[in-house]
Amino acid sequence: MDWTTLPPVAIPDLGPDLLRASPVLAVFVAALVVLLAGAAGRGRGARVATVLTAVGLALAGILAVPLLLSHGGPAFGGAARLDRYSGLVVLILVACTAGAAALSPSLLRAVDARIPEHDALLLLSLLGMGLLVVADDLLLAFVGLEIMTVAAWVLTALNRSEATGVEAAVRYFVLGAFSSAFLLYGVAFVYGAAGGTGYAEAAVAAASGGRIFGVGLAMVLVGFAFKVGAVPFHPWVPDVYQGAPAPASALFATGVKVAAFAALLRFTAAVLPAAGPRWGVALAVLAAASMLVGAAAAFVQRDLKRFLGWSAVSHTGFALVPLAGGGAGMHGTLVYLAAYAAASLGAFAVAASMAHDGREDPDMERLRGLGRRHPWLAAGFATCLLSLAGLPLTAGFPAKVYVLLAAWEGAGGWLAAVVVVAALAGAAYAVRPVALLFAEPGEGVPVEIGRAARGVLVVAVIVVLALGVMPGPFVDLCRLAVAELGG
Amino acid sequence: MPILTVLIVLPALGAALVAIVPRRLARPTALAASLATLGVAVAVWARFDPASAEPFPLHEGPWPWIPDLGVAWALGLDGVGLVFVLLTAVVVPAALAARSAPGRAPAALLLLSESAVLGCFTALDLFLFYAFFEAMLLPVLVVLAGFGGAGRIRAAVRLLLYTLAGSLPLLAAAVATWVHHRAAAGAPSALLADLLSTPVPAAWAPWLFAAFALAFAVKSAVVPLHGWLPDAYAEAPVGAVVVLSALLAKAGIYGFLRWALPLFPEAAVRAGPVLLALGSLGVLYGGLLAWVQRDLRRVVAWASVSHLGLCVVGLGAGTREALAGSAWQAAVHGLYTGALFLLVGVLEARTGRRGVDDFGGLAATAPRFAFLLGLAVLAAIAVPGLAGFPGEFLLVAGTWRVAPAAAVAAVLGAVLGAAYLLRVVERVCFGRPGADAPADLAPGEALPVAVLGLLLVGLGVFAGPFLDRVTPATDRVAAALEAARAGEGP
Repeated sequence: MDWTTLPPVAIPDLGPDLLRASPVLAVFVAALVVLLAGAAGRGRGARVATVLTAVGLALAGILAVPLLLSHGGPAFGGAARLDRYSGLVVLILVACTAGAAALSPSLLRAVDARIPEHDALLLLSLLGMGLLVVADDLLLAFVGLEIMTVAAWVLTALNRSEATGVEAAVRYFVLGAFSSAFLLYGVAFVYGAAGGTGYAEAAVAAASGGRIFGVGLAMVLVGFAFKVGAVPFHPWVPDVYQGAPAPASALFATGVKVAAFAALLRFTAAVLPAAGPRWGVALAVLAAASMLVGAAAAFVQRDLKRFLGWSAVSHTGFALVPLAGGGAGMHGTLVYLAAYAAASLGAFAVAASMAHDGREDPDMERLRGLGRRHPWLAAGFATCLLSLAGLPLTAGFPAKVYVLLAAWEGAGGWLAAVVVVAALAGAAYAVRPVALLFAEPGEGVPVEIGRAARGVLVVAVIVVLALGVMPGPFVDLCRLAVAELGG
Repeated sequence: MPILTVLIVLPALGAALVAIVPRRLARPTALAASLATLGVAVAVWARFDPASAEPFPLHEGPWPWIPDLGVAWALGLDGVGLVFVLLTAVVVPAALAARSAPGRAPAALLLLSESAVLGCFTALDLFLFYAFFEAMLLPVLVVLAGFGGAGRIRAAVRLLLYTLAGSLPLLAAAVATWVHHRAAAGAPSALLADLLSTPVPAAWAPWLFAAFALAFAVKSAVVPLHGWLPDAYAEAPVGAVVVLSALLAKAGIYGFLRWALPLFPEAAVRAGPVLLALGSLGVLYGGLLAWVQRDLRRVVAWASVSHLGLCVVGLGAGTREALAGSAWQAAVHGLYTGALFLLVGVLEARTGRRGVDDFGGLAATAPRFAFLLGLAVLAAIAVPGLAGFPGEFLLVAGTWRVAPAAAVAAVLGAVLGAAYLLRVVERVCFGRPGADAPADLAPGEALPVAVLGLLLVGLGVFAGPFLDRVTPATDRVAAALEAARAGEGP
């Protein structure tokens, strides 16, 4: 073969695309810099890394704003879409990561697992989330998912002295690899049926049906269901939330979940309308099962982190409901996730404060009487828990309203009934920790909430109340962002 | 000036102030805020034009709140809302002025609750109403859980779970009503007037009515959904009990009149017998249990169950007189129950006891106390000339026409009420002095109760101006029910 006769390859001008992708790139650069800075010096390295992480996150947040205000469109030859939706979700992700980063130092110092690479891992995980969210192509989504998962896996295993931590990491690794295999195998099927891995190509193939495509789509959805932790693909969730250090769990509950959901939303918005209504029904069944199983299991938990893990399974179900409904109500998922992430961050701020004598001890009984010693902190924590339960004037309320709306308009009355039952159960299990807060002080080592955790809690409560009292502007933003996805 | 918005915002501002002023100024600030709210409420009364032909002579908005859903800040008052607003504005200062009234945090929380209660009685947007309906309980719940008696946590959890069990179905039903309206009218809206213009299909209506009714029945402690009430009333601090019994429980009756009956008249007519039966059951069951209680608070608590059952009987009967009586009875019940709980609270604060048999001969040693207790009890048992009478008379008369059995139950309940409440007066005020001889009411303690007592007398004698404002509103509901009954045919 004469290599010289091959046609010249046109190298596209990536300049504008790179500029628009700057929030994700900023995270990437920050991660590398932090990694180097952490390696450079032992003692000072950690502090420098913290500062650099903060700068990187702030930069990523600022750079995401133009994206939020733009119309955007395809980038990198159709592999990604840098649109309003990307900007909005990246902003939420940056906020979640910042929360987890703020909680990390004190807890990791307390359990003697402080390593300078920790912040770099957080940023790498955020990089993966960012790629996952902007991806408009299953392969890029897969790459993002893997970057996110590998970093999160290391974060889970950070607390090596704790048996549950190691067990959680192994479990997460095995099940994570399993689900990645599903996803990748599904991508191969989709490629076989559609001739490409882009969401747009998948949508075209979906319209023409075909068994091979159906198998591929099912496997891709299973892969996503693993990542968001929907029943029956949820067993890793409570173990990992319990075993990982609390800040890593906070990242799982907020950033990782939001990113996986945001990618799933982009994928379903592009592909499912063409694939027919039965896929919506399948998602609705997953949603119903998650809501009920998660709520039922959360009832009997004594460990605050495990409790939040089961509650996360239940909330996954709620957030799936608008996806199952499809159509105009899909931005409900984003509203729900934002509300859930804010409240979870507040709850994990308390969970991260429950370490003593070199180990974490998130036994809920230890919350007993916190309201007597720190009425305002207890009230803030209670606000977060009640927002998870969906009480009015907290962010959880408009979120639940949107889910109910989507249930009525999508799957119909049966799903709405499940939502009501699950919401009721959710309120019931959220009441127990709140009641403990205001009960008479008990025996155990009292919980002291440090400065960083207080800060995170205060910000979380402000967001929860702001979204609860004036949800209008944020909801409009979500609707605008999601409305652009379909076409 | 948007006077209704001011009315709602004022107590919340007061609550914020109470939270930040120096501790010794907290109580006066709270009292001042609630009195200022009372002032605004009186101004609302003055502005209210009873001759107006509009369904809501005073209204504000709609101003968009969640434009995406067509949810708006829309407020309005008709006669029914007006009396409940006045009741709220009168009862909260009385609760805050009570000597046993709690410190800074409870005072701020009760003011927050007042804001939500006022919002609940004025909201004309279904979601706004729902938000207030839920929000009004939370501060009281925190007061109960944080400052109540020994069993406070249990009582609070029970209260919260009962309430949520009612209100989540209400939310689902509200969403369904909204979805139907958007489909029928093409634009999202949750305004009462808009929802009324697109009646829901007959297949849905019974379910939606049931969901609305469930939430309102829990709030008004309709037997068998009253399980939260005795413990909550027994354990909460006095101020919280007064707000809970005098105001929050009324939101259920109000909810029926404002939302459930007008939105689903056919279903309401069909459910009439159920409401009559449950109401009668509540009247008798509450009365019998009040009879056997040994704890003064629990006597008043079960009396509440009985008297609210009476209101439900009126709602079930659905005639003009019965509905007007129901609204009247609910409002007046707030006055005398508030007075009774305040008086029991004084005994508790003095002696730490509240048994029916712990006291005696107070008529001699504490004449002011005995007089006010007697007055409140006489109003409660509907003695003519006092405020309880017009309501009970209208209720029984209006119910007799359609459901004689329920009317008989209502009268039996009244007889029972006379028996157990007069027994309380007899035991506490007369006979031999008990273990404790509490000192008489100080002027500061007597004043709030005396104001409530004065209103009980005034409303008994001059019921006219109030009934003139209430009846147009309840007549409209009755007319809707009448039309539904006629449409259904024999």
